[in-house]
Amino acid sequence: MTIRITWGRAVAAFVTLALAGLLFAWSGIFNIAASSGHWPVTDWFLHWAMRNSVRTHAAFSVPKDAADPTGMVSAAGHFDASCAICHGAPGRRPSPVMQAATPPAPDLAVNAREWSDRQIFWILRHGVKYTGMPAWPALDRTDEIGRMTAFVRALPTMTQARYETLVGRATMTAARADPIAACVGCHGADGRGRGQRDIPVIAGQNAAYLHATLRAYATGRRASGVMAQAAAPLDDATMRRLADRFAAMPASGPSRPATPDAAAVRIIADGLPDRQLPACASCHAPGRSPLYPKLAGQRAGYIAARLRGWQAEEGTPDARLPQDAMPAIARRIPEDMIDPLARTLAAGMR
Amino acid sequence: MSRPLFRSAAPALFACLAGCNMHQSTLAPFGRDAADIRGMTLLLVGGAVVIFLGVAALVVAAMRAPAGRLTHDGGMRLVLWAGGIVPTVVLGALLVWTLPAMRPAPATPADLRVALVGEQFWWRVAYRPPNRPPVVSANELRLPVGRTVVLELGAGDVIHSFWVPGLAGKMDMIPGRTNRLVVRADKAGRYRGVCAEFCGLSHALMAFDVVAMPPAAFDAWLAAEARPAAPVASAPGAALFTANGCGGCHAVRGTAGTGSIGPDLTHFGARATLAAGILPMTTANVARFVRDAGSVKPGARMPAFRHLSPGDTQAIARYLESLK
Repeated sequence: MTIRITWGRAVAAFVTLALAGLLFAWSGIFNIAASSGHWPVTDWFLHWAMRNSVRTHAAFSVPKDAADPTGMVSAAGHFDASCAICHGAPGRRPSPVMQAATPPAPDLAVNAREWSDRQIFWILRHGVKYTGMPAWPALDRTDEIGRMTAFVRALPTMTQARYETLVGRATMTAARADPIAACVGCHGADGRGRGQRDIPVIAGQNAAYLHATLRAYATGRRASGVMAQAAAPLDDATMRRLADRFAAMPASGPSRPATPDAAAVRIIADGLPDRQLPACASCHAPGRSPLYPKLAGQRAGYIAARLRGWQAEEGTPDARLPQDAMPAIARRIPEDMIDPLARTLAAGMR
Repeated sequence: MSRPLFRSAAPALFACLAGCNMHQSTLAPFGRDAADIRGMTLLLVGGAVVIFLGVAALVVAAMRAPAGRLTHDGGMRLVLWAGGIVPTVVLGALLVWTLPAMRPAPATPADLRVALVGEQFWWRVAYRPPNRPPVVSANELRLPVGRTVVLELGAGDVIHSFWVPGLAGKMDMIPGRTNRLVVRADKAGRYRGVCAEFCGLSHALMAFDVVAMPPAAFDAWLAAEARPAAPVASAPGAALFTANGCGGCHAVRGTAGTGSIGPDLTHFGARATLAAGILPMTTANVARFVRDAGSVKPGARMPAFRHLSPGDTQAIARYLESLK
């Protein structure tokens, strides 16, 4: 006996299969338990699909110099607070609770060797569906992701001592139950950022500004995966207390005896009216609103990076860009003036 | 008029009603040039209607006339006169009569000059009375009735066009050059002008008030406008204005605010409208503009100040309104 395939029968077979699938899902027979794991073949297939996806997407969407090894402290601090619980860290086992997930988070000391920098960057930025690996909370902060990429790359050869130094464990332990313990690991017990280029000096900063900044991080109005994680659990009273504590610390002096750059001094005092760029001093001079940060004594590299972060992509119409005060103003600064301006502001010239 | 024709023409006729106002209309002139333009327009339109009716009557007569009514010679004479001589004489006369209107009205160095610069999306105004320092203002043009005034028109960023329909014709404002428009207001009152050249997202929101005043009142006003702002340092808004950096872009003469990027605010509260003639001057409107100018005027160059508390923006708005 032969079965002839007709259009009608093909459609009927398809519908029957779909109904059977729905019936199976409805019945609840499928075991969704994490404890049951996957069959080896399923496990292989899912990982194969994931690896292919990461390889292809990373190749097309990640810049070549994905890893930035200049900011290991902030990356280590964030890793310790957010990642180590699932992945473990040098000298620290992953949480057994988290390891009971399906799939369990991989040991990065082994696993990081299997990926290129660009692939690690892509995974850190976008996360992986169905695995529990989250995306970076601030997708556009590629600078943060680049630092974390370099940190993950370094994990396989990192000693426990090096890890604890990066995290700033000693200062954190010294602070014990104090809520400031979560801050000093990266920002240092003196609030001066442990000499890191990407960590600002917050000692002696305006308390109102620090408080507003913590709130902005917690609510996502200011984008940062690292600081959002740090600020989100804090209540308003704690934010205020922390802001006051750092504000009360002695500020570091001017960063270096910079030779005053005449053009930068002019922009700080008078702006560039031709480019509709107002004077920096109109908001940042002493005695102005405490909602605006003091810049004298700040790290010049940090100021420059912030100004660059606000620059617009070429060709985007102004009206579609953020209209908040500093983004709108920073876009009018000529690119070649950013570094001299940052140096002069940091040195307290006005 | 047949019904379908009326139906299709009705919306266009209703649109014409927009011209029926006294403060922004070429049909309600308050200046010499605009009055000349209206006289010319009425005569030309009237003449065109007479000629059109004459031609229509000729066509009707020609279609009803029996064959042979007109001899060949008679026809040639008609073509010569109605098609050649009369149009030449009429157009020639009109040319001679209208050409002088293109010549700028005469002005002497003793006349008041006012520099107007179009910016996205507002007007920089500087009165330059002879032998006296200039008086800077914004978004409002005041004119002495009966006196000749030379407007020097420029642009800061893109091409704008200056048009006060009741005062004179349009004139473009072009970056890098100064166009002169000589005007004279003949009737006191409050009028309105607009930007007449597409200049960006908020082009349609770029207008200004024109106030024509008796000469004595104008002189008194200009003297008052030249004075710095009355000191109201005790107002909490004055301190907030300085502390939040408003003075980096806006000048309030007599205070620390000396910026020249945005409109001069020295006598802001004396203007009837804000945001270049588009909102009535109320505390709520000023506060809204301070907080988020882009929500009122998309594409405005002023950044948003959403980080200020509503109380602070209210205080700043009240301070600005007090600057009479």
